[in-house]
Amino acid sequence: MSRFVTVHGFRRGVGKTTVSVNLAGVLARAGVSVLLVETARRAEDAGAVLGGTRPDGFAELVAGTAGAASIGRDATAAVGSSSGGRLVVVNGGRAVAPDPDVIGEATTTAFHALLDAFAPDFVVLDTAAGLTEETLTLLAVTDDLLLLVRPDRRDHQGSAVTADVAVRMGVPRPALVLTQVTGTVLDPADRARIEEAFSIPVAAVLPFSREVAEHQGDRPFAISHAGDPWSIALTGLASDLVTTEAAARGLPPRRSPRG
Amino acid sequence: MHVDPRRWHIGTRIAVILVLGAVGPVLLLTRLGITRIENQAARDGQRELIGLAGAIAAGLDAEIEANLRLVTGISRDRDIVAYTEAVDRSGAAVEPAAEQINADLDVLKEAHVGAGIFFVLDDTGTAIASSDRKILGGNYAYRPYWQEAMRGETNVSDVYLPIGTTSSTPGTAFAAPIRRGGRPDGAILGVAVIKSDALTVSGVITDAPDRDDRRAYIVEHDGIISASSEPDDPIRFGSIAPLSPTAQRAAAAAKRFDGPVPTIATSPDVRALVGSPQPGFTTGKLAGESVAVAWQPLVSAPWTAVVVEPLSVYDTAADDARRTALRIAGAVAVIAVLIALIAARRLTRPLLALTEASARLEAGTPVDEEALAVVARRRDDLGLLAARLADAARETRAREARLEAQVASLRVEIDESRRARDVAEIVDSDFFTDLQARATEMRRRVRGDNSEGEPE
Repeated sequence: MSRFVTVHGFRRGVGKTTVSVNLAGVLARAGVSVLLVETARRAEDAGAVLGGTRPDGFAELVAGTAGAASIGRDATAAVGSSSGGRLVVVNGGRAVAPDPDVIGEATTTAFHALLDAFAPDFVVLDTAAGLTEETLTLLAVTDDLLLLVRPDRRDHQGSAVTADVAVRMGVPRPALVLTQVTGTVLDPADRARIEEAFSIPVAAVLPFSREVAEHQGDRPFAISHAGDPWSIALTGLASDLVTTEAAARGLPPRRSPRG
Repeated sequence: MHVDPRRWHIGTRIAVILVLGAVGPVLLLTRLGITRIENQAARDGQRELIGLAGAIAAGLDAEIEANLRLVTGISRDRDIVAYTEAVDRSGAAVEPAAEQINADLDVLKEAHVGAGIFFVLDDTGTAIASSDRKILGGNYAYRPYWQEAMRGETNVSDVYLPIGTTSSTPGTAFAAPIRRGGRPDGAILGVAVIKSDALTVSGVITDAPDRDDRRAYIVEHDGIISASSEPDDPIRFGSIAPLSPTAQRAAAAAKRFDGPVPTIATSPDVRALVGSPQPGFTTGKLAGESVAVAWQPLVSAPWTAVVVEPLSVYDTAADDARRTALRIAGAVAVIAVLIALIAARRLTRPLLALTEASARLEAGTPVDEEALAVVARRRDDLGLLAARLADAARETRAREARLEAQVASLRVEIDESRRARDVAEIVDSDFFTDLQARATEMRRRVRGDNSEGEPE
């Protein structure tokens, strides 16, 4: 059974694509089969980072103009997995979104086709900012929502609404990821206060890192700079996801991505 | 530049104290050593000079004694006594003949190299026999040696300059009375004389000085320098003590010199040797020169053997000694300073590490914990202090790491009523309610799980 991890941020620039690419990369490197989908139209950043894009993407699949097998591109080599892990990347595509009446159905069909085609353990969804009908549709299939929040107060109102909506949608494990903060250790009192304010738990704290922002390498930062505090925090997040998945299925934990 | 040692670094202070502690004694010892060396050099020079004066005096005494024995022997010679007795009996047939006596005196002169003339004076001072025929008939009653001998004293005369044809060099006369019958209590009929070239006497002088800068003199009882180791010495025949008018008259009467005896400018220290019955040493001025003077009175004559050397010799010796001492002291000081600096460094290095560490602790900059660990290995108070500082540094570092890692307190500002309104707006929409109603089914369908819900 595949696990849907949705990486979302209410505002642009909170680092959704960076987190998605690195999370998918770390998971794949650790031996997990991962499908990374850029759900925002025209989004090609993840594909670009991981070695290339396809002409058609997720939008074409939803629109029914492209097949699942043809839009997925294997990027396993870019993360250097050597233990059976796999990474397939689907970029955003350019097709016009379907009518709201059928978007739910079309999206469901598209994901079903992707799972058929690639049978991933994890589906990492890199979403568009905001809270649109497309976002709501993705939340409907999401298992783990990683709601990225910057310590920027303008962000909080929309993020709080998103968190509430996700809960109401029945997302099993919605969580906050604090990004671009100074430091990596959250004071317990602060944690409690934040979790109370947003009504969902904090899953990870990703410190601000200029190096991550300026990273231009062939491999995701968390892999090429595994010792960096940012990478350590992100790897911890990936590890928690794997552990949660194993626990959910009543299996012993998989090999930790940290290993 | 104002220097305030109280503000110095403790390390600097220890270094300065150690260096001063090392250099101070070296300087003090050097000063003492130089003084010792100077004194030693002076004592050595003094001893040597006194020894030289003593040797000269002994040589002169031996030579004078020998001459006096010789002239006494002559005065008791049977032929000479008989001849003198005969001459005394008024010029009749003299037996033995004058030629015989003159020839005997010639033989004596031949046998005694350095002796000038052997001659006999009668009780009027007239030469009645001589190895030098030129003086026969001459009268020498003005000479003190004749006068003394006629009073019964065997004597050596003071040096006198030649007059007329007696001889060509300054001379000394050894004179002994000739008595009737050669008996000690016999009436004095004449005087036997050995006129010795003064050179014979001063040969002891000329050969004595072992160094060019030393000079030897014979000084008579009244201060007249009668002999010098230097040929043509300008102060010879001058007096180092002003002669009394009586003494001047006596010298003139004895026709010793060409004119009055000049006085040589001499400091009182040096003048003290004149007539001194004891050997001595002093420093002072002689003829304008600063000199060290040693002297030894003779036994056989009222003369004093004197040795003089310039004081600059002592200065030179002391300079040499001082230079050597300073060189050694310099080397010792350099070594001492090096040792002191090394010791200071060893002592202060832990202190520096501790002060540096505490300063950094205070400033909040990273502490060199390795340096502290080195000091902490010591078993003394410094080691204990270093260990505590290291603990403090570790704690500080850990606390700072915790603080640094801690996320700055996030201010979360959410307008709850607006939030509720926004959420309501979404969740109350048809789209949401429809989606929400189908969400479970969608999840199942996405994963291809058709066990519940509608078939695909």
